[in-house]
Amino acid sequence: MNNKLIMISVISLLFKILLLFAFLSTYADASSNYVSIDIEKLDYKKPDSNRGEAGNLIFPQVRLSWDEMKISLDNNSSFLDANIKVNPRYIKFKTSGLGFTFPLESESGFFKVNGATLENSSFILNQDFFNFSGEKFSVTNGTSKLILDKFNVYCNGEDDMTSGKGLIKGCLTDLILNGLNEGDLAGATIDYYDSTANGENIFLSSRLKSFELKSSKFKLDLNQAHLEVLNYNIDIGTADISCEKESKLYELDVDRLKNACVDKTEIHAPHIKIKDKETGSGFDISLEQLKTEKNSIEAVLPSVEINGEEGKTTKLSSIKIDCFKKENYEFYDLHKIISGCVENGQIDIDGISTVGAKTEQQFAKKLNVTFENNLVILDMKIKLPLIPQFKFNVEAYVRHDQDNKTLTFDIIRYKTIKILSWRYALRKALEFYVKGNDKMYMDDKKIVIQL
Amino acid sequence: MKKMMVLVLLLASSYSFASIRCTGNNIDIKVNPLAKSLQISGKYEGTINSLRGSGIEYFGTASSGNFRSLTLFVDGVDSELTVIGSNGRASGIISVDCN
Repeated sequence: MNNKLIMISVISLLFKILLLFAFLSTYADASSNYVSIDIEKLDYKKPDSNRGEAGNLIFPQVRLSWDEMKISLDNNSSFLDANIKVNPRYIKFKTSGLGFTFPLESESGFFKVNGATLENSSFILNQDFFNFSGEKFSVTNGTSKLILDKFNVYCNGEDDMTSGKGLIKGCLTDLILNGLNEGDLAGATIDYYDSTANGENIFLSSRLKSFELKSSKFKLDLNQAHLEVLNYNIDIGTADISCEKESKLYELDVDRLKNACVDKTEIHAPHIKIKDKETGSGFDISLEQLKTEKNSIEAVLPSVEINGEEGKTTKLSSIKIDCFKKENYEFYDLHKIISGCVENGQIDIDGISTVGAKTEQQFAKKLNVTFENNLVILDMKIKLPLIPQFKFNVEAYVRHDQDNKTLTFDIIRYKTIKILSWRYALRKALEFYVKGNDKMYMDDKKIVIQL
Repeated sequence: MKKMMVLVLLLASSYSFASIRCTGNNIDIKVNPLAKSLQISGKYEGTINSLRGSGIEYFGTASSGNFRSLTLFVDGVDSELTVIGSNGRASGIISVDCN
């Protein structure tokens, strides 16, 4: 659920950035070949009824080419500091001696923007490419807010980039988002505030080295990201994320963008921390690789630490997952992934141990789980206090109920040492995967786990 | 007289397609408006084979070289160049002298 919100946030963010490009393109009328503006400061606030004073703009210089005419404006002595006025059809920049009026396209996203600020930024747009960079940029539509620090965006297109359609096509085929300065290791900073459909706040703060889109591949080189959603704080350290895009997709179709991405993704994220703010419990995850294809998902995790509510930590080491995935199923939706694994999958875990302040006690090792058409075979070696290590094997039918978020195992047969009941052994094993027994029900033939 | 007129027209039309040379700030640019090509050397090096624009303004994306795109304003007085480097960052306005 949380991962789903991350992805929705990222897609929503991408959508809003591209919407912003379309919004900015309204400044470049179709008859203009070229616009280059350096902006020292912009404060824009949408007036009531989309009519009236809307802020001010300070720009050191403007270069415009209008058909065959070149216009150069250098704002010496601040004589071009401008007040902004809007009405539903026009935006006007009024200086002490000049007025610049630009028509607004009726379908433009201009009035979806409630407020925007810019500091020390530069904006270049011509038929061939688009470049937007600056120290600080923020834009809000009233419910969400996007802030960029020390950023640079470049898009290149074959169609006329001064049209909204051409700009979006260009930015969906050749895009770079990175830091303002080459030597700045921190890269660009993106802060994003929004709320879910249920009204819960989302906050995403990330620093990225680069986000690139070339023809049919997104590539994100992340320095770090912090996400606050529901009760959770999620921190991701350095990460490389790449995924596919339909090469001929030239419009902002969020579903098609998402589907192509989830069906061919590759992620390397060695440090992921998820923490429940209320209970203090959480996960420390090291993800060496996650790879999806249309019908499969593979993951290699050197370690996963589950931090319980009472300070108990369970450590799973060297995990390999290879599962069936339905086409377009999101890899960040736990239940969709479980449903695929249950259909056909293999999960191997080298060791499971409990970790104390100074001790680490191994509970189980060589855990192999094979799923085939809802039949599961589980093999592992278990070590319990006062009992020698023993092998445990169980075969069961498994049902995954996505609506009720449960996994039900109907036991067919089991094999373990005779002094233990299978229920005792299995209960001990499963306690390592669930927080408490209240999330697990067991009778003579059935185990139900509430996920 | 007719021949003279044709010659004048030919000269006038060929003038708008005459090659342009711009230099300055460690940059040397040759623009061939007829072939829609541009070559740049010095601080930035490379070629544009599908140059857009005409008259006072040219822009395009690199076919080869160490930059991605550029825009060139040519007005014979204050000519200006903006180059987008291979990392997508703009150079800022660079003054050049064009013939």
